[in-house]
Amino acid sequence: MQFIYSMLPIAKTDPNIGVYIELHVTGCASEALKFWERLIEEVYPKLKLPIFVYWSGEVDVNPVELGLRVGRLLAKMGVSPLTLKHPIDAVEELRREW
Amino acid sequence: MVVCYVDSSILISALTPTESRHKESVKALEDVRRGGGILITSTYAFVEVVNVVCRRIMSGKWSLTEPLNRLAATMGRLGYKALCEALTSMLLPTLEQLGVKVIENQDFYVLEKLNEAYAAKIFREAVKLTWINCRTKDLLHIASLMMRKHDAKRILTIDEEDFSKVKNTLRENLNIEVEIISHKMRNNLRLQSF
Repeated sequence: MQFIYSMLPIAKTDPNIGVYIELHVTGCASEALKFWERLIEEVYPKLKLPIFVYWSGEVDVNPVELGLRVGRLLAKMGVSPLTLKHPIDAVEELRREW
Repeated sequence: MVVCYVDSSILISALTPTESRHKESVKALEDVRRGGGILITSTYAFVEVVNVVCRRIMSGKWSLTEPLNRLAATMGRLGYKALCEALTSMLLPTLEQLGVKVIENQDFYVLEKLNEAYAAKIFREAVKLTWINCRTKDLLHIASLMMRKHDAKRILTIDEEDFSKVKNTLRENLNIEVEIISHKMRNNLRLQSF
């Protein structure tokens, strides 16, 4: 697996997630996901900071598989896929659908 | 063994850290699991959750926090259909982590006679329960729970307005306990500890 990093890993802070690491790679989605999965397996347990990998290449994984794999990575890092920037009320949101 | 049906309101609450009752919802789910209970939900509740999430994100009414927003933008390059499919799949591992199983039974959808018409068994059950006097979506949650062959039945919800009206009816007539997770519960617990 060979990547050209378009940027060096950056440590960032998000008000809802806290400190996390961001990596930008030039490969396609399937390669980036494999790389991300390896990072979560090997680096995350030591670092204990969420790691996010972004890719600039094509999305060559079907959406269902992409969502499931990203969802599993987020779950391992304890990050909910529904981490929003703002407060919500679930009952009100559902009521708008009725 | 206690089987707890988790409705869509508590699912959204537990999945969304900025939801006003998030901590209470997650704790309620944990308490059930620690007590040896099973957390289940229906595909109907899951569809409700997914539809709310996808509609809000597509319309821009919900803004994901920055690192997730970038991921969604990447997925969104494939269009709304792909974005929604990916978002739906993304929710499943977190539900699994919360210990909530989406359980559905083929038997629920077997067609049965309803007077001169035919209806899937789950809708037939819902029709039989209309005397409870609640909204259709809540009726479907209740019908879904009623059709499961377990000894103890419980519903976990944060929908105080709707479920407080039918709580006693469900307990007295159908042996279903309703646990409403609210801010009040937290406040009551605080008061009790003094």
